[in-house]
Amino acid sequence: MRDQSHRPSFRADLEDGALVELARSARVESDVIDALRELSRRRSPERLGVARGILADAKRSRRLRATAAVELGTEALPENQRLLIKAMVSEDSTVSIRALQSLGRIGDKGALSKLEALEIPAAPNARQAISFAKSLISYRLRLDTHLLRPPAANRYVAVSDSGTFAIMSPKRGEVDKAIRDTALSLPAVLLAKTGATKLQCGRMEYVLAIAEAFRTLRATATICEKSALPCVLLRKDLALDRYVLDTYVFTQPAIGGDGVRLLGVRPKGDIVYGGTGSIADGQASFTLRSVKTRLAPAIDVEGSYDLRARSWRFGRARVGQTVSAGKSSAKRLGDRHEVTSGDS
Amino acid sequence: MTSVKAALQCIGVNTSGTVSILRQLFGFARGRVPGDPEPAVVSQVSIREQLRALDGDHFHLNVIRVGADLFTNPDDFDKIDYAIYRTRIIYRAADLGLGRVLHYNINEADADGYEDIGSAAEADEMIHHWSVDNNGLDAFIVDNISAGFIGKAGCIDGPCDKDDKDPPGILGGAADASWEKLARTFPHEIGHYLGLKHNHGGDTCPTSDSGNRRLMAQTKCPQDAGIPLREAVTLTSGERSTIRSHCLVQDGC
Repeated sequence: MRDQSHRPSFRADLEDGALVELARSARVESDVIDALRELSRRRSPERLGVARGILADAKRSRRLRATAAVELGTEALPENQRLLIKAMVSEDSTVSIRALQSLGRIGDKGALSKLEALEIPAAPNARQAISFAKSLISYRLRLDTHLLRPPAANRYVAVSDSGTFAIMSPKRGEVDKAIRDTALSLPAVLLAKTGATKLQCGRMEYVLAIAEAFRTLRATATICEKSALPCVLLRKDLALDRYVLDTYVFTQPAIGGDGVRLLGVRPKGDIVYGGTGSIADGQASFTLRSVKTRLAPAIDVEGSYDLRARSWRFGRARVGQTVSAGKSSAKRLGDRHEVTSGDS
Repeated sequence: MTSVKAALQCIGVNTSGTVSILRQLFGFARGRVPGDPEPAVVSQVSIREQLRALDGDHFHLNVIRVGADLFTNPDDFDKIDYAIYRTRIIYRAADLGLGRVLHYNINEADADGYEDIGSAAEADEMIHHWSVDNNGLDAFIVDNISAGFIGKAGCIDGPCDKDDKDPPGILGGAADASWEKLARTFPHEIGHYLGLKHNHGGDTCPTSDSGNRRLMAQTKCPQDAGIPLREAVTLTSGERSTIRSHCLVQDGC
């Protein structure tokens, strides 16, 4: 007979107080994680206190502390930032990377200066986490520092095997749901309920939403002067039954003052799209294409956003059917990785 | 009914060397029948039933453990074999067999940070990042999911082209999940990939007991209804028909 140590104490019908107690005292790791997740799902006010306690306790496991660091990145509170700054230099790279990513989402200028003082590590993941945390704070706060380098012309790929994606007006309530669902991923970016458009691309549905700070013509015109985060692409994830953050759309003034450069950037910091934009006569016009990547299909888009009517028009909306990096570009798992004996 | 050797050859297992029935026919990485977390329940497998399952429609799996060297609790591996064991039982009830199961380990040093998944976007990126060049569904198990979900399919009715723009696989769960949670999440995400949606709206749960007992109800639904997760695994006749028409499903041997 098996021992019963893996029989969970967690039950979803526990009240918040009991879940807090379980998260603090349970011996079985999955019980603690389940308790924290359930508090998070309920958006219980207790969840942040539990997460802070876990992250601050260096004796807790890597899995728990990483989960707590992600949780603290869902609300821009000074206490969360303070703990994440401490955790970003954790000896455990997973914990420090999660803390850095959370700081990027909620951090202020004070967090940015702490990030700037960090040594750049050798490990690519840690390096990317620090670098993108600085950029994300900077684009959010419009500081014009730590700008991402737009892709060189030869990094773009042409669209072959293409279809088009459909552009449509969101149904009643869709934008509200998209904003509500992604609020924890965008804790320091308020999205506007107006001006969004819906895109359908095969199995996938997206909402392209505008940040509240860029709702007016006057505010949008400032993207020609300073870097910004004016839009995000939200994807409807049918397996999770909620919208998730897919891509940040950053802008920065083009060198030479001729319009703006657009960058589509995945939540971890990988640039997947690049293009140009300009504003004239109340219209923001743009083009967007993909770089070679497995993280997105090839696209070729040209369109405009009417800043007065808050409506979108797409002259070209082509999308490839495979990842833009092309066939067989994934890392293939073969004999070296295959487990053939019981010594798993 | 076909012979064991013929069935193994049919699902693409090389039978020229030593063959382990529990590994190659049943897909248990540890080469033994995983124990049941309920002490009173004895796990068992039947060669006859498995051969019958392969006679009919079936699908293959590639179980990919990301950050496998971090799975330091001996339970972590048994738990995954138990998820395979339960997946076979659940889909057999829907007349869909589980065929070849291959296991792959990616250690932390090669995992490019995907041993811990911090967002839905990261899960999809991981699915795009690696693939096994065969006709099995790539099903990833990571060391930890630090985001607020316990597994996810790359998409509903997923592609059979592993270079498709939509993520061609599933994140079947994490090693830190409890036994029963992993053993339900894993087949639930497979259900999505084979074309099934949730049987309820995203923000609500079914109002009926039978609705909460369906495999495609989100985990929170049976949990909130007080239904043990191992009992919330039913598939309707419509769902059975949908999954059997997926492009990953192979004809009988």
